[in-house]
Amino acid sequence: MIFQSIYETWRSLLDTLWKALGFEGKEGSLVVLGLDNAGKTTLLHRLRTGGDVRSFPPTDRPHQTEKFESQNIKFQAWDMGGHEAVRHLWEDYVCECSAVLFLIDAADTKRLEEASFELDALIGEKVVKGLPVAILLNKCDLEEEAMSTTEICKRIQYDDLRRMQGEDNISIFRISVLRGEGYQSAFRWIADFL
Amino acid sequence: IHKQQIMTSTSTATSMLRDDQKIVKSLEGNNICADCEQTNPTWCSVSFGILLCLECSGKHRGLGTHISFVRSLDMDSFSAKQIQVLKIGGNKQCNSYLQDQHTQQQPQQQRENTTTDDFTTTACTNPTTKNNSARVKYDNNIAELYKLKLKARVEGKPEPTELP
Repeated sequence: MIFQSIYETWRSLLDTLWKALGFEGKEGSLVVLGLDNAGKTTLLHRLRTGGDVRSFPPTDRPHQTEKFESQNIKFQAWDMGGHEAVRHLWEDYVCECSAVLFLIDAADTKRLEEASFELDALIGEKVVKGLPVAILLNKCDLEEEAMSTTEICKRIQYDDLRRMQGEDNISIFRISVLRGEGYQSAFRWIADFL
Repeated sequence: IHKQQIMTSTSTATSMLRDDQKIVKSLEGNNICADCEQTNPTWCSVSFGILLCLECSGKHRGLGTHISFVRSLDMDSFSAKQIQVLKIGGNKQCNSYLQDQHTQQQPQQQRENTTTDDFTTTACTNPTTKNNSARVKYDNNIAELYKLKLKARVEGKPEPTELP
């Protein structure tokens, strides 16, 4: 009982502080893109529940997650299917969002070209123009299989992407959804845009 | 425009023709998921040449694409080689191979005690298996060799009898 009232006093103090600093009420809407099996659904599940990861069945149609908090900002995200036949839907959801997460399976050498092609289409055709794009290199926990950031940057021609999207509007992060590592910095980066 | 570009960029990959799908679906065992009892599976692992249900394809995706590469028969495209693997593979063939080799590897005594144990479905449906239950069945040397055998057959090379 006592603990609870102490907790609530602190809580309201903190809330006041947050409001004073201008953080209160910040909200962001995300769209999560990438090839099938990059880890989009698993990432969102982890962000929403904070809990263990598990394997999910493939996503066939877009669905919106419940709200979750990261970096003291409330987010809501569109989880998009990554299969070829449903990628044409990506464009329609991008315009509603304040930031784009693009996941790449860093351990999948064979499909990097395909991922690069999709990324190039989004940026080159100005579908994501003006939006912050965070490229998340997932599955970096697979130490033997995962490619280095340098290699990936070279193969996806990251310099060109930066030039087209604007240097400040694109960034690249190494993450492991399985271990719960790396994506926090991506959210910190996105937070600055909101 | 977008769609056309995809087609030209990956000109070697095409969505599976209805005729090919028919052939693949008619292979022995392909009427039910390779890992559970679900009928009419529409997902596949092109690494093992097997058909899977939606749920089980999720488990395969969790293994990493170097172990099992999952595709949707309806939503993804396939290379000619991948289609070939699916046509010469099949659930029955894969499960029989894995089961036989698994049994052979067990010591004689244990083998006699567990004659009726069907490793290929219990491994994947056993809810007590921690983490990803498909790992037991597919992330091991026996399964690795089976993949190499399939690949060799598609490429018209002699089948390997052991891992390189």
